[in-house]
Amino acid sequence: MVLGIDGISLFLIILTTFLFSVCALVAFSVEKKVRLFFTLFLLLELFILASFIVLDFLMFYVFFEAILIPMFLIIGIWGSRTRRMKAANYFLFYAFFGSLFMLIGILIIYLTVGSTGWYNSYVFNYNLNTQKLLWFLFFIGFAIKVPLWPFHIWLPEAHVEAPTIGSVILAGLLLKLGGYGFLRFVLPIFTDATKFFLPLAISLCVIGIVYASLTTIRQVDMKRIIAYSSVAHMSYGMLGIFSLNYYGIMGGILLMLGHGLVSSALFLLVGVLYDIYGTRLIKYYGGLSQVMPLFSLFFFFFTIANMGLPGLCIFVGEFLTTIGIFATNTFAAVISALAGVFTVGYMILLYNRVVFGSLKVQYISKFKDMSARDFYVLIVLAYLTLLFGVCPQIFIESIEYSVFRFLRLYDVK
Amino acid sequence: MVLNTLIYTIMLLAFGGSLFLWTPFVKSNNQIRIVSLVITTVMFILSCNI
Repeated sequence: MVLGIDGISLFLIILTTFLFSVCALVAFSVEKKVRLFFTLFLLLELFILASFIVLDFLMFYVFFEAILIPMFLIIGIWGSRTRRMKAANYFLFYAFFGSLFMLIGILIIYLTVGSTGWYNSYVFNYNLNTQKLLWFLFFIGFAIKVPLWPFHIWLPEAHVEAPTIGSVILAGLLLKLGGYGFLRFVLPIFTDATKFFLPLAISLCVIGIVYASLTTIRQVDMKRIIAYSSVAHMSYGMLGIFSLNYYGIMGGILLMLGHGLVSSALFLLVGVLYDIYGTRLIKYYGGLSQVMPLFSLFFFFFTIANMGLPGLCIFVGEFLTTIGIFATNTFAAVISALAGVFTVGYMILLYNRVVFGSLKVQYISKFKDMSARDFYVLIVLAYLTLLFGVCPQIFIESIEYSVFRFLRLYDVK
Repeated sequence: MVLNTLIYTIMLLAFGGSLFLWTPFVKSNNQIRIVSLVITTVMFILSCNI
C-alpha cells in the first residue's frame, strides 16, 4: 500500500484526529450501545485517515466506501428521530451511487495504465477522450461527497437525523474528502479534461452557492440551516480550487479547514440545545441570552465566524478564494461574493430568533446553560478559530509548497 | 521511515483500539468512553508530530 502526506493532506489529517478527540469527549453522553458506538467511531476515524493517506486509486476507493458502513450505522442507530433510517438510506445510496462511477473509472485506469497507483497515472499521458470520460466519472463521485448542486439532497437530510457527533464528522471531515479527492485524484492527473470541463464545474459551484444560500433563509430547523450553509461554503471552496491559481487553491484548502472547525462548533452548539430541550426548531426558541449566557456567547462567536468576519478562520479562506476567482472568472466571482450577503442574512436571522427577543415559556419552562464539558470543547474550537484567523501563515507556510508544486506540474502538463 | 512509522502507529491505534474495546479488560461503559478518548487523543498528538 503506497502512503503519502503532503501539504494538502497534512492539515486534513490533523483536523481529523483533532475532531475525533473532540467528538470522543462529546460522546460521553451516548448511552445506547456504547461499545458498538465507540468501535464504529474508531473504525470511522481509521477509514477517514486512510483515505487521506493512500496514494492508490483502488485503495482510496476501498476506504472511501468503507466509511459508509460505520456512518450509515451511526445515523441509523443513534439518529435522533424516526426518519433516521430514511436519512441513512439517502446517505448510503447517494454515496454508493457516486462511488460506482468512480469504480468504473478505476477499472478504466487499470486497463489503460496497467496499475491503479497514483504516481503511475500521474506520469501517464492519457488521450483527451479517455481523460474526459475519467474526469466525468470521478467528478460524479466527488461532487456527491462535497456536495455540489444538484447532488446535495442527501446532506441536509443526513445532518438533521444524525446524532450530534455524526453531524460534526459529516460536516467537518466527510465533505472534505470530496474536495481532497478533486485536489489529489482529478485535477493533477486529468489536466486537459479539467480545462475542458471548467465552465461546467464553475457553473455548478456558482449555482450551488446561490441556491444553498437562498434555501437556507427559509429553513426552520437549525441543523438544516447549518447543513445548507455547509453546501454554500463547500461550493465556494470548490470554486476556489477550480480557479486553478495559487490564491484560489490556497483559499479553497483554507476554507475547507476553517469550515471544518466552525461548522463542527455550530453543530455542537445545536446539539447542546437539542440535548437540553429536545427540539431543533427555531420557533420554540427565543430570548436564550437571558438564561444561557455562555451558550449565547459561543453561538455569537461561531455565527460571526461562519459569516466570514475578518480575524476568524473562514474569512482567510473566503478572501483568498475571492481573489483567485476574480483572476479567472469575474462573473462567477461577483455572483458568489454577492451570495455572501445571504450568509450574513441567514446567520443573523438565526442568531436573532434563537438568542434575542422574549423567552417562549409556553414551549420551554426550565432552562439551564451548557455543561462544563461542552464549555471546554467549545473554548478549544474558539481558540483554534481565532488562531487560524489571526495567524493563517502558520498553515499557509506548510501548504504552499504543495500548492506551488501542484500548479507548476499542472502547467508543465 | 519515521513518517511511515508514525502513520502506521496512528492507523494501528485506531484499528487496535476498536478491537480492544471488545476484550475483557474493558468492562463498564465509562471505561469504554475513557479508553476511546485516550486513543483518539494519542492519535491527535501523534498526528501533530507528522
